[in-house]
Amino acid sequence: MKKNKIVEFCKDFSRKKLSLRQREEFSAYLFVLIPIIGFLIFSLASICYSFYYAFTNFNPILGVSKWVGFDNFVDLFSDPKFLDACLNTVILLASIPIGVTLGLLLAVYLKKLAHGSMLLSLLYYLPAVTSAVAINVIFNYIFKGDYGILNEVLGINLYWISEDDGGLVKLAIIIKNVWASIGSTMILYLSGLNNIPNEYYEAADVMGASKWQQLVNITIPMSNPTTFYILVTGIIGGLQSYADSQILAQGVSGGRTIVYYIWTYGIGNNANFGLASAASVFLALVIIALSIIQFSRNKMFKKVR
Amino acid sequence: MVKQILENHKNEMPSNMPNFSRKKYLAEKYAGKTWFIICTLIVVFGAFIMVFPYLWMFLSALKTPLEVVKVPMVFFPTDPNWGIFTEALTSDKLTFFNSLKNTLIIEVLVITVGTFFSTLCAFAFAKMNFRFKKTILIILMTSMMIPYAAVMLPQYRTFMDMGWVASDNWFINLLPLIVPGLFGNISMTFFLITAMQTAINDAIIEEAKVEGCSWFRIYRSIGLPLARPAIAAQVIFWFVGIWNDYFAPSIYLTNQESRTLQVAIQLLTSGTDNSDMPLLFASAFLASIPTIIIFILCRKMFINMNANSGIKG
Repeated sequence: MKKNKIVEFCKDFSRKKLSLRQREEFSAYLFVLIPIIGFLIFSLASICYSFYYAFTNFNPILGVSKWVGFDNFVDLFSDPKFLDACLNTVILLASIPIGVTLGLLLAVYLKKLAHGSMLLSLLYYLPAVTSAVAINVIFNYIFKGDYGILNEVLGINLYWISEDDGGLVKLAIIIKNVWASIGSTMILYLSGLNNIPNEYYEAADVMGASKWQQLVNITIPMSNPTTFYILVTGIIGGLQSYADSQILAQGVSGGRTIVYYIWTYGIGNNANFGLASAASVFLALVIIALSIIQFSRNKMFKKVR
Repeated sequence: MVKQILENHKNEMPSNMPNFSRKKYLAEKYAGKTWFIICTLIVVFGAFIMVFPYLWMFLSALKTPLEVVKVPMVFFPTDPNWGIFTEALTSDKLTFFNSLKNTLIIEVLVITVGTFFSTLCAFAFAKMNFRFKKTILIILMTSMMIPYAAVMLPQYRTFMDMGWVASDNWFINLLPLIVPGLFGNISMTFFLITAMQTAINDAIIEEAKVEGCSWFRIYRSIGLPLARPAIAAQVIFWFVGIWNDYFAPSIYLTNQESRTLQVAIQLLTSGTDNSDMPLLFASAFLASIPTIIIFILCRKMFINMNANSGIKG
């Protein structure tokens, strides 16, 4: 019965019997159908399964799967390896404020520059289009203890990437991340700066405000939306970092992040799938909360009625 | 009286007013210049630091395996080994062209099919009226919030059960990276909604509707051509993203025949043997060149894209 109705509707549609309004609606649903199916399979169903696995002791090697309640979460938060991974991930976020500060100063400078700013912004933006693999490969070599160029140039002899010193590994990753993020931060600020009316600076000049006062009292407050966006997206990206731990830090414990932890238990050795799922659910909740903060500020919603 | 008023407004006057102290003005201007020169030096030095890793990658590729690990270091290779780039292209350790083929297969399939569905979806949201439009949009938007790490484990298990992981057939191994992309790219859709709203005039669509055009026809003949610049920008952005993608390929592409370029390069790092290092740098350098060329050719596009994602979006 219901099937017949659908068939009738399709026939009406092809015979152009439907009203324009109905045709529009039907076509629109067809147009958005595929992305919605993709969403249902690869986002909704997947994350539901992550939640489900987080509450089981699923083990693909032994083939067991039993409901264990919150055991995985209890194990997770008493696992020093996971707590270390969380701490590492949070410490590595230190590159974001440094990158934001340098990016802003760079943008302020480049805005003043009449010539050559295109070449400079190109050079600074290069890491944003280079693969994480290539960047990490070369930085791993730069930070090498025995023959790395950084040690030689600075005249020091530090083993940046080693099991013994977790702090140096993190410092190395932070330096690399600042290097890699400064260009895209600068571009974001540059377009933000162009939206600040020039009258503000002219007025400040007339009032006798110094350039530094103008930076602190006009540029920085007016760039607040940009700063907020960079910070939140930076944190979301930083929480998901993986290539840094695997390629630059070569998997030493001081550089292991949350995603590296999930990878180790969920895919690397498959031994504790439930624990890895619990970690991924935890990460997802944190990131979704941050994203909601970010999206609630987005003007996109208001544009689509 | 007039003098008194002038005195009161002294601070608000433009700097070229006669009673402005010329000496002070010059001193400020001179100080500004000095600062400007210092800033320029810092920024140029910074630019050098930005380029240095690329330069170092290139120079190290040309060295012999012994020179690469030599202490004290040699900056320029004594006898540049240009053959290393042909070696990178032909070496069995890297299987460069095979990896390139896999990367391009993923790129072409995902981008052609995915762009079609993404633009179709964006067109519906931008220019068509239907019930639950905003609800559907918000639902789709939530998928942008979900991190890949949170969905990768169930997907990995499912693809494994379907026999798509570590299969003997190289193409089947690529499917976990292709199939999710075929359903479109939500972030692309979201950028295109705004772009299509401004690029496509409602009057043209009304006219086409009166003429009796089907909505697909309107999409194909009006929507796509008018939004072409925005779509091109998104496609290029997506291309670079897939080219540089590493995490998902490293999970799924474990056998040599189906790995992508980034995975192949990464596998060279795992060897403790220093003799592969020039090869590693040469291949990493070669694999970075296409995206850098695309970026230089389309720099305006990239810079606008990046900028729009922040404030206006």
